[in-house]
Amino acid sequence: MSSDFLATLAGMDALIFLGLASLVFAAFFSAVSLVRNALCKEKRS
Amino acid sequence: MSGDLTAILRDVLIWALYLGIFFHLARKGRGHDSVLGGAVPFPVQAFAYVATYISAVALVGFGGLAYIYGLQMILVAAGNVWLGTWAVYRFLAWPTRQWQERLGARSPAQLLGLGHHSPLLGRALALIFALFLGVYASAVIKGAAVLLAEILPLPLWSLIWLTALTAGFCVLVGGLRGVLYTEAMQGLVMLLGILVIVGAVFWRVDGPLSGIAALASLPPDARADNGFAALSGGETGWFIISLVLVTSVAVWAQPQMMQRHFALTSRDSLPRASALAMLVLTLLVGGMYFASSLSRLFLPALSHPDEVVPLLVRTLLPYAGMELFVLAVVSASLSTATALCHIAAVAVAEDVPARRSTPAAWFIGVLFCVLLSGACAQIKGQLIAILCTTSWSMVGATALVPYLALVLFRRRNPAAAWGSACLGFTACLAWYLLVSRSTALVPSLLPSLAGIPPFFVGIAASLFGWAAGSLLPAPSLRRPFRGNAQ
Repeated sequence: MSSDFLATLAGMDALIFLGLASLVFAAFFSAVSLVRNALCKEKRS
Repeated sequence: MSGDLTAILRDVLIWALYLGIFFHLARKGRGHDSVLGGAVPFPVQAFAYVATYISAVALVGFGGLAYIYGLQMILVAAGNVWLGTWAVYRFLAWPTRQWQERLGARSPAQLLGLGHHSPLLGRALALIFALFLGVYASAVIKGAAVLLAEILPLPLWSLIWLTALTAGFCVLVGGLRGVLYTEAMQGLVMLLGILVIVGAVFWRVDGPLSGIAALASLPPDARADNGFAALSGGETGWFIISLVLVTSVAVWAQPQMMQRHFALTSRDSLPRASALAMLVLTLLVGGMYFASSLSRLFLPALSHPDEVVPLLVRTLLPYAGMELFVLAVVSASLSTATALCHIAAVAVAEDVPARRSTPAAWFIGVLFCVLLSGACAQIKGQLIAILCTTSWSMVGATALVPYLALVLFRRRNPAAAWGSACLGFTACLAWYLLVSRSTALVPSLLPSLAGIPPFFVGIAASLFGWAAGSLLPAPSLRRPFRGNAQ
Protein backbone atom coordinates (compact mmCIF):
# COMPACT_ATOMS: atom_id res chain seq x y z
CA MET A 1 0.00 0.00 0.00
CA SER A 2 2.78 2.43 0.99
CA SER A 3 4.76 1.62 -2.19
CA ASP A 4 1.58 2.18 -4.26
CA PHE A 5 1.12 5.49 -2.53
CA LEU A 6 4.72 6.55 -3.20
CA ALA A 7 4.44 5.47 -6.82
CA THR A 8 1.29 7.57 -7.13
CA LEU A 9 3.05 10.60 -5.69
CA ALA A 10 6.05 10.05 -7.94
CA GLY A 11 3.78 10.24 -10.99
CA MET A 12 2.53 13.68 -10.02
CA ASP A 13 3.85 17.12 -10.72
CA ALA A 14 4.88 18.98 -7.52
CA LEU A 15 2.44 21.82 -8.12
CA ILE A 16 -0.52 19.48 -8.62
CA PHE A 17 0.53 17.54 -5.53
CA LEU A 18 0.58 20.80 -3.56
CA GLY A 19 -2.87 21.70 -4.88
CA LEU A 20 -4.31 18.33 -3.85
CA ALA A 21 -2.53 18.41 -0.49
CA SER A 22 -3.83 21.93 0.19
CA LEU A 23 -7.40 20.75 -0.49
CA VAL A 24 -7.01 17.78 1.87
CA PHE A 25 -5.51 20.12 4.46
CA ALA A 26 -8.36 22.64 3.96
CA ALA A 27 -10.98 19.94 4.53
CA PHE A 28 -9.17 18.58 7.59
CA PHE A 29 -8.40 22.01 9.07
CA SER A 30 -12.00 23.17 8.54
CA ALA A 31 -13.54 20.04 10.03
CA VAL A 32 -11.26 20.23 13.10
CA SER A 33 -11.98 23.93 13.50
CA LEU A 34 -15.74 23.34 13.36
CA VAL A 35 -15.59 20.53 15.92
CA ARG A 36 -13.35 22.59 18.23
CA ASN A 37 -15.72 25.55 18.00
CA ALA A 38 -18.72 23.35 18.73
CA LEU A 39 -16.98 21.83 21.77
CA CYS A 40 -15.93 25.25 23.11
CA LYS A 41 -19.48 26.53 22.71
CA GLU A 42 -20.84 23.51 24.58
CA LYS A 43 -18.31 24.03 27.37
CA ARG A 44 -19.26 27.70 27.71
CA SER A 45 -22.96 26.91 27.87
CA MET B 1 -47.26 1.68 -17.52
CA SER B 2 -47.77 1.70 -13.74
CA GLY B 3 -43.98 1.94 -13.42
CA ASP B 4 -44.00 5.11 -15.59
CA LEU B 5 -46.80 6.55 -13.50
CA THR B 6 -44.89 5.82 -10.28
CA ALA B 7 -41.78 7.50 -11.70
CA ILE B 8 -43.80 10.57 -12.75
CA LEU B 9 -45.47 10.76 -9.36
CA ARG B 10 -42.10 10.43 -7.63
CA ASP B 11 -40.63 13.24 -9.80
CA VAL B 12 -43.61 15.47 -9.06
CA LEU B 13 -43.28 14.74 -5.34
CA ILE B 14 -39.55 15.49 -5.29
CA TRP B 15 -39.93 18.79 -7.17
CA ALA B 16 -42.98 19.79 -5.12
CA LEU B 17 -40.99 19.16 -1.94
CA TYR B 18 -37.99 21.11 -3.30
CA LEU B 19 -40.11 24.08 -4.38
CA GLY B 20 -42.16 23.91 -1.17
CA ILE B 21 -39.01 24.23 0.98
CA PHE B 22 -37.67 26.91 -1.38
CA PHE B 23 -40.77 29.10 -1.10
CA HIS B 24 -41.04 28.47 2.64
CA LEU B 25 -37.45 29.66 3.16
CA ALA B 26 -37.95 32.62 0.80
CA ARG B 27 -40.74 33.81 3.13
CA LYS B 28 -38.26 33.97 6.02
CA GLY B 29 -37.37 37.42 4.76
CA ARG B 30 -40.88 38.81 5.17
CA GLY B 31 -40.94 41.69 7.62
CA HIS B 32 -37.20 42.26 7.19
CA ASP B 33 -35.42 44.91 5.15
CA SER B 34 -35.30 43.63 1.56
CA VAL B 35 -31.89 45.16 0.89
CA LEU B 36 -29.96 44.36 4.07
CA GLY B 37 -31.88 41.45 5.56
CA GLY B 38 -30.16 41.45 8.96
CA ALA B 39 -27.62 39.03 10.39
CA VAL B 40 -27.99 35.29 9.77
CA PRO B 41 -26.52 32.27 11.63
CA PHE B 42 -23.10 31.10 10.49
CA PRO B 43 -24.24 27.89 8.68
CA VAL B 44 -26.62 29.98 6.54
CA GLN B 45 -23.86 32.52 5.89
CA ALA B 46 -21.36 29.81 4.88
CA PHE B 47 -23.68 27.75 2.66
CA ALA B 48 -25.05 30.93 1.04
CA TYR B 49 -21.52 32.15 0.26
CA VAL B 50 -20.64 28.86 -1.43
CA ALA B 51 -23.96 28.61 -3.29
CA THR B 52 -23.55 32.15 -4.66
CA TYR B 53 -19.92 31.49 -5.62
CA ILE B 54 -20.53 28.19 -7.40
CA SER B 55 -22.89 28.26 -10.36
CA ALA B 56 -23.71 25.48 -12.79
CA VAL B 57 -20.91 26.85 -14.99
CA ALA B 58 -18.41 25.92 -12.28
CA LEU B 59 -19.87 22.45 -11.76
CA VAL B 60 -20.74 21.38 -15.31
CA GLY B 61 -18.52 23.65 -17.46
CA PHE B 62 -15.37 23.48 -15.36
CA GLY B 63 -16.08 19.82 -14.59
CA GLY B 64 -15.83 19.25 -18.35
CA LEU B 65 -12.56 21.19 -18.45
CA ALA B 66 -11.21 18.85 -15.74
CA TYR B 67 -11.83 15.91 -18.10
CA ILE B 68 -9.82 17.72 -20.80
CA TYR B 69 -6.99 19.15 -18.68
CA GLY B 70 -6.82 16.44 -16.01
CA LEU B 71 -5.70 17.19 -12.45
CA GLN B 72 -4.53 20.67 -13.47
CA MET B 73 -8.04 21.85 -12.61
CA ILE B 74 -7.36 20.91 -8.98
CA LEU B 75 -5.35 24.14 -8.87
CA VAL B 76 -8.53 26.08 -9.67
CA ALA B 77 -10.32 24.33 -6.79
CA ALA B 78 -7.43 25.06 -4.43
CA GLY B 79 -7.43 28.71 -5.52
CA ASN B 80 -11.19 28.98 -4.92
CA VAL B 81 -10.82 27.49 -1.43
CA TRP B 82 -7.76 29.43 -0.25
CA LEU B 83 -7.91 32.71 -2.18
CA GLY B 84 -11.62 32.85 -2.86
CA THR B 85 -12.79 31.80 0.59
CA TRP B 86 -10.12 31.64 3.30
CA ALA B 87 -8.49 34.94 2.30
CA VAL B 88 -11.89 36.62 1.93
CA TYR B 89 -13.03 35.65 5.43
CA ARG B 90 -9.58 36.33 6.91
CA PHE B 91 -8.98 39.79 5.42
CA LEU B 92 -12.10 41.23 3.77
CA ALA B 93 -15.37 40.02 5.27
CA TRP B 94 -15.29 41.69 8.67
CA PRO B 95 -13.71 45.00 7.51
CA THR B 96 -16.44 45.14 4.83
CA ARG B 97 -19.12 44.63 7.48
CA GLN B 98 -17.59 47.35 9.67
CA TRP B 99 -17.28 49.88 6.85
CA GLN B 100 -20.85 49.13 5.82
CA GLU B 101 -22.07 49.83 9.35
CA ARG B 102 -19.89 52.90 9.75
CA LEU B 103 -20.98 54.46 6.46
CA GLY B 104 -24.61 53.39 6.73
CA ALA B 105 -24.27 51.71 3.31
CA ARG B 106 -27.01 49.33 2.27
CA SER B 107 -25.40 47.87 -0.85
CA PRO B 108 -21.90 47.32 -2.28
CA ALA B 109 -22.36 50.24 -4.71
CA GLN B 110 -23.28 52.54 -1.80
CA LEU B 111 -20.33 51.19 0.20
CA LEU B 112 -17.88 52.19 -2.53
CA GLY B 113 -19.61 55.50 -3.29
CA LEU B 114 -19.88 56.65 0.32
CA GLY B 115 -16.51 55.14 1.19
CA HIS B 116 -14.77 57.25 -1.44
CA HIS B 117 -16.84 60.39 -0.73
CA SER B 118 -18.51 60.18 -4.14
CA PRO B 119 -22.16 59.09 -4.21
CA LEU B 120 -22.04 59.56 -8.00
CA LEU B 121 -19.39 56.82 -8.18
CA GLY B 122 -21.80 54.55 -6.30
CA ARG B 123 -24.54 55.30 -8.83
CA ALA B 124 -22.22 54.66 -11.77
CA LEU B 125 -21.10 51.36 -10.26
CA ALA B 126 -24.73 50.42 -9.59
CA LEU B 127 -25.52 50.92 -13.29
CA ILE B 128 -22.63 48.64 -14.27
CA PHE B 129 -23.69 46.02 -11.72
CA ALA B 130 -27.33 46.13 -12.88
CA LEU B 131 -26.43 45.78 -16.55
CA PHE B 132 -23.66 43.19 -16.36
CA LEU B 133 -25.08 41.08 -13.53
CA GLY B 134 -28.65 41.29 -14.86
CA VAL B 135 -27.47 39.97 -18.22
CA TYR B 136 -25.15 37.44 -16.58
CA ALA B 137 -28.19 36.16 -14.65
CA SER B 138 -29.72 35.32 -18.05
CA ALA B 139 -26.89 32.84 -18.74
CA VAL B 140 -27.37 31.25 -15.34
CA ILE B 141 -31.16 31.05 -15.79
CA LYS B 142 -30.80 29.58 -19.26
CA GLY B 143 -28.40 26.95 -17.90
CA ALA B 144 -31.01 25.84 -15.36
CA ALA B 145 -33.78 25.88 -17.98
CA VAL B 146 -31.75 23.76 -20.44
CA LEU B 147 -31.17 21.20 -17.71
CA LEU B 148 -34.83 21.21 -16.68
CA ALA B 149 -35.80 20.67 -20.33
CA GLU B 150 -34.05 17.28 -20.10
CA ILE B 151 -36.55 16.06 -17.53
CA LEU B 152 -39.67 18.25 -17.96
CA PRO B 153 -41.83 18.04 -21.12
CA LEU B 154 -42.10 21.82 -21.55
CA PRO B 155 -40.65 24.15 -24.23
CA LEU B 156 -37.35 25.86 -23.35
CA TRP B 157 -38.79 29.40 -23.54
CA SER B 158 -41.40 28.57 -20.90
CA LEU B 159 -38.79 26.98 -18.61
CA ILE B 160 -36.63 30.11 -18.93
CA TRP B 161 -39.51 32.33 -17.80
CA LEU B 162 -40.45 29.86 -15.06
CA THR B 163 -36.88 29.93 -13.69
CA ALA B 164 -36.61 33.73 -13.97
CA LEU B 165 -39.98 34.17 -12.21
CA THR B 166 -38.99 31.73 -9.44
CA ALA B 167 -35.77 33.67 -8.80
CA GLY B 168 -37.68 36.96 -8.98
CA PHE B 169 -40.36 35.74 -6.57
CA CYS B 170 -37.73 34.75 -4.01
CA VAL B 171 -36.05 38.19 -4.24
CA LEU B 172 -39.38 40.06 -4.19
CA VAL B 173 -40.85 38.26 -1.20
CA GLY B 174 -37.77 37.44 0.83
CA GLY B 175 -35.27 40.17 -0.01
CA LEU B 176 -31.69 39.43 1.01
CA ARG B 177 -32.71 37.30 3.99
CA GLY B 178 -34.96 35.07 1.89
CA VAL B 179 -32.22 34.78 -0.72
CA LEU B 180 -29.64 33.75 1.90
CA TYR B 181 -31.87 31.07 3.43
CA THR B 182 -32.85 29.58 0.06
CA GLU B 183 -29.20 29.62 -1.00
CA ALA B 184 -28.24 27.75 2.15
CA MET B 185 -30.78 25.03 1.34
CA GLN B 186 -29.54 24.91 -2.25
CA GLY B 187 -25.92 24.69 -1.09
CA LEU B 188 -26.85 21.60 0.93
CA VAL B 189 -28.56 20.01 -2.10
CA MET B 190 -25.48 20.79 -4.23
CA LEU B 191 -23.24 19.14 -1.65
CA LEU B 192 -25.36 15.96 -1.58
CA GLY B 193 -25.52 15.75 -5.38
CA ILE B 194 -21.76 16.18 -5.80
CA LEU B 195 -20.91 13.69 -3.05
CA VAL B 196 -23.01 11.07 -4.83
CA ILE B 197 -21.18 11.48 -8.15
CA VAL B 198 -17.75 11.68 -6.48
CA GLY B 199 -18.48 8.46 -4.54
CA ALA B 200 -19.59 6.72 -7.74
CA VAL B 201 -16.40 7.77 -9.59
CA PHE B 202 -14.14 6.62 -6.72
CA TRP B 203 -15.95 3.29 -6.69
CA ARG B 204 -15.51 2.97 -10.47
CA VAL B 205 -11.74 3.65 -10.41
CA ASP B 206 -11.01 1.59 -7.25
CA GLY B 207 -10.36 4.59 -5.04
CA PRO B 208 -8.71 7.98 -5.48
CA LEU B 209 -5.09 6.81 -5.21
CA SER B 210 -5.31 4.12 -7.87
CA GLY B 211 -7.27 6.64 -9.95
CA ILE B 212 -4.44 9.18 -9.73
CA ALA B 213 -1.87 6.50 -10.56
CA ALA B 214 -3.86 5.40 -13.63
CA LEU B 215 -4.38 9.01 -14.74
CA ALA B 216 -0.67 9.80 -14.34
CA SER B 217 0.19 6.86 -16.58
CA LEU B 218 -1.99 8.05 -19.49
CA PRO B 219 -0.03 9.38 -22.48
CA PRO B 220 0.04 13.21 -22.78
CA ASP B 221 -2.05 14.96 -25.41
CA ALA B 222 -2.17 18.45 -26.93
CA ARG B 223 -4.02 20.04 -23.99
CA ALA B 224 -2.15 18.16 -21.27
CA ASP B 225 1.31 18.09 -22.82
CA ASN B 226 3.03 16.99 -19.59
CA GLY B 227 0.42 14.33 -18.81
CA PHE B 228 -2.83 14.47 -16.85
CA ALA B 229 -1.21 14.78 -13.41
CA ALA B 230 1.08 17.71 -14.26
CA LEU B 231 0.74 21.37 -15.17
CA SER B 232 1.05 21.87 -18.92
CA GLY B 233 3.72 24.07 -20.41
CA GLY B 234 3.24 27.18 -22.53
CA GLU B 235 -0.14 28.70 -23.25
CA THR B 236 -2.20 25.89 -21.67
CA GLY B 237 -0.32 26.17 -18.37
CA TRP B 238 -0.88 29.94 -18.36
CA PHE B 239 -4.56 29.41 -19.17
CA ILE B 240 -4.89 27.26 -16.05
CA ILE B 241 -3.04 29.79 -13.88
CA SER B 242 -5.19 32.63 -15.24
CA LEU B 243 -8.33 30.58 -14.52
CA VAL B 244 -7.15 30.18 -10.93
CA LEU B 245 -6.65 33.92 -10.49
CA VAL B 246 -9.75 35.11 -12.34
CA THR B 247 -12.09 32.76 -10.47
CA SER B 248 -10.41 33.23 -7.08
CA VAL B 249 -9.45 36.92 -7.04
CA ALA B 250 -12.11 38.61 -9.20
CA VAL B 251 -14.65 37.11 -6.80
CA TRP B 252 -13.43 39.43 -4.01
CA ALA B 253 -15.11 42.44 -5.63
CA GLN B 254 -18.27 40.80 -6.99
CA PRO B 255 -21.08 42.80 -5.33
CA GLN B 256 -23.21 39.70 -4.71
CA MET B 257 -20.33 38.30 -2.61
CA MET B 258 -19.68 41.60 -0.79
CA GLN B 259 -23.36 41.80 0.14
CA ARG B 260 -23.06 38.46 1.97
CA HIS B 261 -20.55 40.04 4.37
CA PHE B 262 -23.24 42.55 5.38
CA ALA B 263 -25.15 39.64 6.99
CA LEU B 264 -22.32 38.62 9.35
CA THR B 265 -23.50 38.37 12.95
CA SER B 266 -20.25 39.16 14.77
CA ARG B 267 -16.52 38.83 14.48
CA ASP B 268 -16.77 35.65 16.57
CA SER B 269 -18.85 33.97 13.87
CA LEU B 270 -16.10 34.46 11.24
CA PRO B 271 -13.92 31.40 12.01
CA ARG B 272 -16.94 29.11 11.99
CA ALA B 273 -18.42 30.58 8.80
CA SER B 274 -15.00 30.46 7.14
CA ALA B 275 -14.31 26.85 8.19
CA LEU B 276 -17.71 25.61 7.03
CA ALA B 277 -17.53 27.48 3.73
CA MET B 278 -14.03 26.07 3.06
CA LEU B 279 -15.13 22.54 3.90
CA VAL B 280 -18.21 22.69 1.67
CA LEU B 281 -16.31 24.35 -1.19
CA THR B 282 -13.49 21.78 -0.96
CA LEU B 283 -15.97 18.93 -1.22
CA LEU B 284 -17.94 20.64 -3.99
CA VAL B 285 -15.34 21.96 -6.42
CA GLY B 286 -12.42 19.81 -5.29
CA GLY B 287 -14.61 16.71 -5.47
CA MET B 288 -16.20 17.63 -8.80
CA TYR B 289 -12.94 18.50 -10.59
CA PHE B 290 -11.14 15.49 -9.15
CA ALA B 291 -13.96 13.14 -10.15
CA SER B 292 -14.22 14.66 -13.64
CA SER B 293 -10.44 14.30 -14.14
CA LEU B 294 -10.68 10.63 -13.23
CA SER B 295 -13.64 10.15 -15.59
CA ARG B 296 -11.13 10.18 -18.49
CA LEU B 297 -10.20 6.68 -17.37
CA PHE B 298 -13.54 5.17 -18.35
CA LEU B 299 -15.53 7.63 -20.48
CA PRO B 300 -15.20 7.54 -24.29
CA ALA B 301 -13.30 10.35 -26.05
CA LEU B 302 -15.42 13.52 -25.97
CA SER B 303 -14.74 16.66 -27.96
CA HIS B 304 -16.84 19.21 -26.08
CA PRO B 305 -16.36 19.83 -22.32
CA ASP B 306 -20.09 20.44 -21.74
CA GLU B 307 -20.83 16.81 -22.74
CA VAL B 308 -18.67 15.34 -19.98
CA VAL B 309 -20.64 15.77 -16.76
CA PRO B 310 -24.07 14.79 -18.20
CA LEU B 311 -22.49 11.64 -19.71
CA LEU B 312 -20.67 10.90 -16.45
CA VAL B 313 -23.93 11.13 -14.52
CA ARG B 314 -25.82 8.98 -17.04
CA THR B 315 -23.05 6.37 -17.04
CA LEU B 316 -22.62 5.96 -13.31
CA LEU B 317 -25.77 6.91 -11.45
CA PRO B 318 -29.13 5.18 -11.20
CA TYR B 319 -32.24 7.27 -11.91
CA ALA B 320 -32.56 8.48 -8.31
CA GLY B 321 -28.92 9.62 -8.33
CA MET B 322 -29.45 11.43 -11.63
CA GLU B 323 -32.47 13.16 -10.14
CA LEU B 324 -30.40 14.30 -7.16
CA PHE B 325 -27.65 15.56 -9.46
CA VAL B 326 -30.13 17.52 -11.60
CA LEU B 327 -31.50 19.05 -8.40
CA ALA B 328 -27.93 19.96 -7.40
CA VAL B 329 -27.16 21.68 -10.71
CA VAL B 330 -30.52 23.49 -10.80
CA SER B 331 -29.79 24.61 -7.21
CA ALA B 332 -26.37 25.90 -8.28
CA SER B 333 -27.98 27.95 -11.06
CA LEU B 334 -30.96 29.19 -9.08
CA SER B 335 -28.88 30.26 -6.07
CA THR B 336 -26.54 32.30 -8.27
CA ALA B 337 -29.52 33.72 -10.18
CA THR B 338 -31.27 34.92 -7.00
CA ALA B 339 -28.05 36.53 -5.74
CA LEU B 340 -27.52 38.34 -9.07
CA CYS B 341 -31.18 39.33 -9.29
CA HIS B 342 -31.01 40.79 -5.76
CA ILE B 343 -27.99 42.97 -6.61
CA ALA B 344 -29.57 44.16 -9.88
CA ALA B 345 -32.86 44.91 -8.09
CA VAL B 346 -31.06 46.91 -5.36
CA ALA B 347 -29.22 48.87 -8.05
CA VAL B 348 -32.46 49.79 -9.84
CA ALA B 349 -34.65 50.30 -6.78
CA GLU B 350 -32.23 52.16 -4.54
CA ASP B 351 -28.68 52.79 -5.77
CA VAL B 352 -29.36 54.56 -9.06
CA PRO B 353 -32.24 56.77 -7.81
CA ALA B 354 -30.13 57.43 -4.68
CA ARG B 355 -33.03 57.11 -2.27
CA ARG B 356 -34.23 54.37 0.02
CA SER B 357 -36.41 51.86 -1.82
CA THR B 358 -40.17 51.70 -1.32
CA PRO B 359 -42.18 48.48 -1.87
CA ALA B 360 -43.20 49.83 -5.29
CA ALA B 361 -39.59 50.63 -6.24
CA TRP B 362 -38.51 47.18 -5.02
CA PHE B 363 -41.17 45.57 -7.22
CA ILE B 364 -39.95 47.58 -10.22
CA GLY B 365 -36.33 46.62 -9.48
CA VAL B 366 -37.17 42.91 -9.34
CA LEU B 367 -39.38 43.17 -12.42
CA PHE B 368 -36.52 44.86 -14.32
CA CYS B 369 -34.19 42.01 -13.45
CA VAL B 370 -36.70 39.27 -14.31
CA LEU B 371 -37.55 40.88 -17.67
CA LEU B 372 -33.90 41.65 -18.53
CA SER B 373 -32.56 38.21 -17.64
CA GLY B 374 -35.58 36.32 -19.03
CA ALA B 375 -35.55 38.26 -22.32
CA CYS B 376 -31.77 38.04 -22.75
CA ALA B 377 -31.93 34.29 -22.13
CA GLN B 378 -34.36 33.97 -25.08
CA ILE B 379 -32.10 35.84 -27.50
CA LYS B 380 -29.03 34.39 -29.20
CA GLY B 381 -27.20 37.68 -29.69
CA GLN B 382 -23.47 38.29 -29.88
CA LEU B 383 -23.68 41.30 -27.56
CA ILE B 384 -25.46 39.26 -24.90
CA ALA B 385 -22.98 36.42 -25.27
CA ILE B 386 -20.13 38.93 -24.79
CA LEU B 387 -21.79 40.50 -21.74
CA CYS B 388 -22.27 37.04 -20.18
CA THR B 389 -18.70 35.96 -20.86
CA THR B 390 -17.18 39.19 -19.68
CA SER B 391 -19.29 40.20 -16.68
CA TRP B 392 -17.24 38.48 -13.96
CA SER B 393 -13.96 40.06 -15.16
CA MET B 394 -15.53 43.42 -16.02
CA VAL B 395 -17.10 43.88 -12.60
CA GLY B 396 -13.91 42.65 -10.91
CA ALA B 397 -11.63 44.95 -12.92
CA THR B 398 -13.91 47.95 -12.20
CA ALA B 399 -14.52 47.49 -8.48
CA LEU B 400 -11.60 45.48 -7.05
CA VAL B 401 -9.02 48.26 -6.60
CA PRO B 402 -11.40 50.87 -5.06
CA TYR B 403 -12.84 48.12 -2.82
CA LEU B 404 -9.47 46.85 -1.56
CA ALA B 405 -8.21 50.41 -1.13
CA LEU B 406 -11.18 51.14 1.13
CA VAL B 407 -11.58 48.03 3.26
CA LEU B 408 -8.02 46.74 3.35
CA PHE B 409 -5.86 49.88 3.18
CA ARG B 410 -8.41 52.40 4.53
CA ARG B 411 -7.72 54.78 1.65
CA ARG B 412 -10.59 57.09 0.73
CA ASN B 413 -9.97 59.16 -2.37
CA PRO B 414 -12.70 60.11 -4.87
CA ALA B 415 -10.36 61.05 -7.73
CA ALA B 416 -8.31 57.87 -7.33
CA ALA B 417 -11.44 55.72 -7.05
CA TRP B 418 -12.93 57.27 -10.20
CA GLY B 419 -9.64 56.92 -12.09
CA SER B 420 -9.26 53.32 -11.05
CA ALA B 421 -12.87 52.31 -11.80
CA CYS B 422 -12.94 54.09 -15.19
CA LEU B 423 -9.58 52.80 -16.41
CA GLY B 424 -10.23 49.27 -15.09
CA PHE B 425 -13.59 49.14 -16.88
CA THR B 426 -12.37 50.67 -20.14
CA ALA B 427 -9.16 48.65 -20.39
CA CYS B 428 -10.88 45.36 -19.62
CA LEU B 429 -13.69 46.04 -22.13
CA ALA B 430 -11.26 47.23 -24.82
CA TRP B 431 -9.11 44.12 -24.33
CA TYR B 432 -12.17 41.88 -24.70
CA LEU B 433 -13.44 43.65 -27.83
CA LEU B 434 -10.18 44.38 -29.62
CA VAL B 435 -7.47 41.97 -28.46
CA SER B 436 -8.70 38.83 -26.70
CA ARG B 437 -8.70 35.86 -29.06
CA SER B 438 -12.08 34.39 -28.13
CA THR B 439 -14.15 37.60 -27.90
CA ALA B 440 -12.56 40.22 -30.19
CA LEU B 441 -15.05 41.69 -32.67
CA VAL B 442 -12.23 42.47 -35.12
CA PRO B 443 -8.99 40.60 -35.90
CA SER B 444 -6.91 40.95 -32.74
CA LEU B 445 -4.99 44.24 -32.71
CA LEU B 446 -2.16 42.68 -30.66
CA PRO B 447 -2.07 38.99 -31.70
CA SER B 448 1.07 38.25 -29.67
CA LEU B 449 -0.66 39.45 -26.47
CA ALA B 450 -4.09 37.97 -27.22
CA GLY B 451 -3.65 35.22 -24.64
CA ILE B 452 -3.40 37.65 -21.69
CA PRO B 453 -6.68 37.54 -19.73
CA PRO B 454 -8.60 40.87 -19.89
CA PHE B 455 -9.02 40.81 -16.09
CA PHE B 456 -5.24 41.18 -15.64
CA VAL B 457 -5.12 44.07 -18.11
CA GLY B 458 -8.09 45.70 -16.37
CA ILE B 459 -6.48 45.38 -12.93
CA ALA B 460 -3.16 46.79 -14.18
CA ALA B 461 -5.01 49.76 -15.72
CA SER B 462 -7.10 50.17 -12.57
CA LEU B 463 -3.97 50.33 -10.40
CA PHE B 464 -2.53 52.92 -12.77
CA GLY B 465 -5.79 54.87 -12.56
CA TRP B 466 -5.64 54.80 -8.77
CA ALA B 467 -2.03 56.04 -8.77
CA ALA B 468 -2.83 58.79 -11.30
CA GLY B 469 -5.95 59.86 -9.40
CA SER B 470 -3.99 59.99 -6.15
CA LEU B 471 -1.67 62.57 -7.67
CA LEU B 472 -4.53 64.97 -8.39
CA PRO B 473 -5.24 67.60 -5.74
CA ALA B 474 -8.39 65.84 -4.57
CA PRO B 475 -9.46 65.67 -0.93
CA SER B 476 -7.68 62.53 0.19
CA LEU B 477 -8.60 61.23 3.61
CA ARG B 478 -6.87 58.53 5.50
CA ARG B 479 -8.71 58.51 8.75
CA PRO B 480 -7.75 55.76 11.16
CA PHE B 481 -10.66 53.42 11.70
CA ARG B 482 -9.97 51.73 14.95
CA GLY B 483 -12.70 49.12 14.65
CA ASN B 484 -11.24 47.97 11.36
CA ALA B 485 -7.92 46.76 12.73
CA GLN B 486 -7.00 43.20 11.78
